[in-house]
Amino acid sequence: MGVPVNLKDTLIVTRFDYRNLVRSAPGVIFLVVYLFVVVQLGAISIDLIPFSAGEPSPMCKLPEGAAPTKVKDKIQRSLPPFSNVSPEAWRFLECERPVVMSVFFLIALFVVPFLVLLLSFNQVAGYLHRKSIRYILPKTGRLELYLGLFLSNLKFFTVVSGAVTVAVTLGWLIVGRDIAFGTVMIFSARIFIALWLSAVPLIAFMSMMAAMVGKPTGTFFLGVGFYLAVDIIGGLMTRQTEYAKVFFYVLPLEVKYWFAYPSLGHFLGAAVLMVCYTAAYLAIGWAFLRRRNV
Amino acid sequence: MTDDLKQAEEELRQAQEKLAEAKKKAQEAERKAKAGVKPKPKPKKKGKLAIDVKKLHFSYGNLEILKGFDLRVTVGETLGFVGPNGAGKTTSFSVIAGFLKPNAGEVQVLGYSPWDTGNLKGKLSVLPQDAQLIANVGIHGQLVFFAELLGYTDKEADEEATRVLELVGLADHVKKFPGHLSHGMAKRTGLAQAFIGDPEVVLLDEPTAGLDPFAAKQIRDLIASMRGERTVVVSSHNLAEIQDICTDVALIHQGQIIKHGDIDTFTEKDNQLRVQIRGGVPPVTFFQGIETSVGVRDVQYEPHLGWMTVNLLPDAPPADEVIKMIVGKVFELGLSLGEIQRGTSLEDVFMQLTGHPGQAGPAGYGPPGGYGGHGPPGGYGGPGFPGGPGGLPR
Repeated sequence: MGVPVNLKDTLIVTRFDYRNLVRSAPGVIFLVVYLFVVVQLGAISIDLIPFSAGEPSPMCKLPEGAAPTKVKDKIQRSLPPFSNVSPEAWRFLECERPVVMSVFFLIALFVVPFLVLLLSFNQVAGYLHRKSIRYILPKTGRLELYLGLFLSNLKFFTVVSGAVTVAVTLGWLIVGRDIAFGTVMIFSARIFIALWLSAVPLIAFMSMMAAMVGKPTGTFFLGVGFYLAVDIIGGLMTRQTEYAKVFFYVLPLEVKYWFAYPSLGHFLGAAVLMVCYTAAYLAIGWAFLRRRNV
Repeated sequence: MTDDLKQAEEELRQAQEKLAEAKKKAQEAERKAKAGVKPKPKPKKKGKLAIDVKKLHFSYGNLEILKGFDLRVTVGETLGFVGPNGAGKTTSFSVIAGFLKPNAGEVQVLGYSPWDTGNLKGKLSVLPQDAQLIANVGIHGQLVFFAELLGYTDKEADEEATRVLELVGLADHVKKFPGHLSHGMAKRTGLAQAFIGDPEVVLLDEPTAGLDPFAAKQIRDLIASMRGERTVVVSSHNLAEIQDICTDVALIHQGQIIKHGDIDTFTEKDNQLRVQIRGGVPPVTFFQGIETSVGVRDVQYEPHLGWMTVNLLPDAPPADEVIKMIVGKVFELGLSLGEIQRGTSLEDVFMQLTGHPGQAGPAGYGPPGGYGGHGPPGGYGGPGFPGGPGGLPR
């Protein structure tokens, strides 16, 4: 049985909320933190490109499957963004392009989905908490409001993330003149798509939390707390047993690193799973919102 | 020849007006069709139900608010919804509007479940009591958004937002944000959104609470102007206001409707007269004379305010004749008249039916140790004055 959605109303809600996001607390917090963190990362990577653009890393001269150096091995095993990437993927990232671009990619993959939580905690929770939803409901359905708010957050993230990616890419192109234009462009596109696909389920996750909790602050602390709990507890548990990795799959924490793998299969697999995560979170949130008293 | 020309011009003008009106209606219909607003059933027939609530139960946790609530509101009715604090007015409004899910019972608005927003879109509008406006957005912008959701284009929505802001007296405040509004202005903005478009059923929860007298009158006039054209349900603690603007009243008490009817029946307009006598206290013979008149059941008198209540028998002559008789007798005594009311006030009915303490009933009249006892013992709904305190001095 399908759920009828009034697409026009959904887009009206999206347009309205998108215009207001930049004036809202979540929008401002996200912009400040995102620009500070990701632009800083990008700036560092741009600064370092000249030093990494020459000879390929010694790792690349080793035969495939050779053990990495001890220091490198330690870094890869202990730092979260790197520990989630297999040696095979790491070799691809290090040898096919300047390593700083890959480091930027991995750190961004680690940080950006978390930053998205700062943007998307309000959504329907703000309307529920202030009861402004009572002005809206006689004019459109709950589903249209729910989806419209999700899409406005997604649009906002897309615009900000796109602008930052373009800026960093331009920096790489200007500073790293030795690197082929095509390599930079393809890798930047890959970064943008990977970050976007990693962020979408987290926005949906916060849509779900907002519909369940109904208060912006409660949604924020529960959402962020749950994310950190899964990440930290999952990280600690995987040190004991590999099977604990399953715990990571409650959120798309593990799957996002598949985007760093060289094969298209990994990339597409991650993309499909991200869509599934998104659909699941949205469906659970909708199940709560459609019945709840407002 | 000139007359013929004038007549032709007049006919042409009328035809053009009709054409313009038809065009406007067609545009409105087109807008509604685009917005998914289902066409209105025509014509609006009195007697058809706009709101039908049956055996409604609603609880907050273990606290049962609505206990088998029944309400039927016919199309075109302007219903005053009154009741003491905590009686369940706002809760029942919220259930009828589809904000709250009932535990049991059935609610239909224009034949649809209130959760069926697809079919009710544009037909039901609500002024919720405790909802806040959307933060960070100017009031005009919010109204434009609401109008767009009802199918207006950008330009039309802008015009509609301006129109409804003018309607509630906020034309000079279009650029204000919710944070800069007084309570009354926020309330009027809430009212403005309820008047967007052409709703068939309008639910207004305490529309004049917190408004200054001028704004309150403006809103009352607005509601009164919708009488017969729309179904309006107004919840208010201002009973005089309800009596002024509504055609019907429903009294809710402890989660149930305990009385519902047209306002004349409710206030016993044909069964009771209240006359305020000024300039002195009439002698007992005056009251005896009225009480023995044709069609009069009994007479009560409140000496401190000068109000005389005359209860009529069902077969009494028309109230106007009785009033004429009373007025004559008052003037014969050289006294003057204050107000004359037909029927009891809604406030008195409210007090009587809800058992609200502290409202005195009118005393009887009579000589000391004589007539006494015409007022209901305990007065209306409470301890009040004992009936017949011993009568008035001759």
